[in-house]
Amino acid sequence: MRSSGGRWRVCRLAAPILAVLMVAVVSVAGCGTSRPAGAAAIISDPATRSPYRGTVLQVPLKEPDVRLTDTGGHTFDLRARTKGKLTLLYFGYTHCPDVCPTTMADLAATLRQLPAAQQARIAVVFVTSDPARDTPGVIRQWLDSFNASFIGLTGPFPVIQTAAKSVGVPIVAPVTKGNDYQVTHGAEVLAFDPTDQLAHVVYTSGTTSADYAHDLPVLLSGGAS
Amino acid sequence: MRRLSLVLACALVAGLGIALLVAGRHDSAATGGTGLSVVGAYVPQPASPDVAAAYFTVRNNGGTAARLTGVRTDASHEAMMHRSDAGGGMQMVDSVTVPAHGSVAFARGGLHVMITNPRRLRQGDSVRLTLTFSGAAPITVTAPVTSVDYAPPGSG
Repeated sequence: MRSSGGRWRVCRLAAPILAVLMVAVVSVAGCGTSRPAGAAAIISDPATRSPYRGTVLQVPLKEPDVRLTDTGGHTFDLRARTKGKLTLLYFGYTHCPDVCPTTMADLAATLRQLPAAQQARIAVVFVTSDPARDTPGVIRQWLDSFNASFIGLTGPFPVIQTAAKSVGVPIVAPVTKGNDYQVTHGAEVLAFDPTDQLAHVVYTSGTTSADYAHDLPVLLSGGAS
Repeated sequence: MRRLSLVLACALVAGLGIALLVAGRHDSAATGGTGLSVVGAYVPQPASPDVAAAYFTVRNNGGTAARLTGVRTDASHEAMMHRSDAGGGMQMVDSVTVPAHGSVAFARGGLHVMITNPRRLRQGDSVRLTLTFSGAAPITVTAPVTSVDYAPPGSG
């Protein structure tokens, strides 16, 4: 059974990282999306005009410089392989019942609405936070439910954790408690600019497909720079 | 004569439509008899063969708060109520209070029923969900298995 103990451990770990993130946040565009309780610390100024419905970071985050393994079993250098593409990075796990599939589903639904030329300029990258169970094959099958073009990556947990931490995403090693297997996933999707490979905007788990559909073309047009 | 048959045909189609609508409503909502009802239940086709989620809204038209104590399903022996939190975690929920004259939504990114090791579920299938309450009769609804990326209108 899940206990709140694990959750608090996550929160403790998350707090300093989130605090840095939150201070860096300059504005949140009014978009009708209710923000989850945990995001309440975001410093928002509704008067500030942002072209985005996502959360704009005052201090952009660098795309992680990490080499992982793709679903074909090959080495994948994240920065090198996604250069030139708007890269939407998410840390999650396939046994996640709610937020992870919902996030992937919303991104897939959004991409379908975009012209093929825009779709081709976007890379959706899912990095597992549960590499013990998420083999390349498991990840591939899971991602194919949403969009066969989505990139799935795995690797040693510490490498994944370091990469996640570098962009303010706190993930902890899966914990087994009795019959329960506890995993955390990222709370947001980071959007890395095709040119500077910096995330200027992040999306919390409450982001709707409509919000993504609004923002992705703006991000593709270089609106963040 | 032709006009009359056209009118009749239209009436027939309209009548059928209404009947289908009524049947649809009947299927998606179930009432417990104490002012409790469950509406809008669905199960997205699971992307993982090992886990699925169920969503619905519990309404309470009664004057006293109700307590939802669990959800069973014919899709698996293992189902539990969970709440996702904004920090990327998830915790089990023992019970959920449905306020008098209020409702509680099990919706994407928040409260949900985690169904572990479900039978093979494909879009078009249906799943029976039985919600148990403290001090009220259980309510069983039939939830359609939707597309993997189905989002109810107006949902987050």
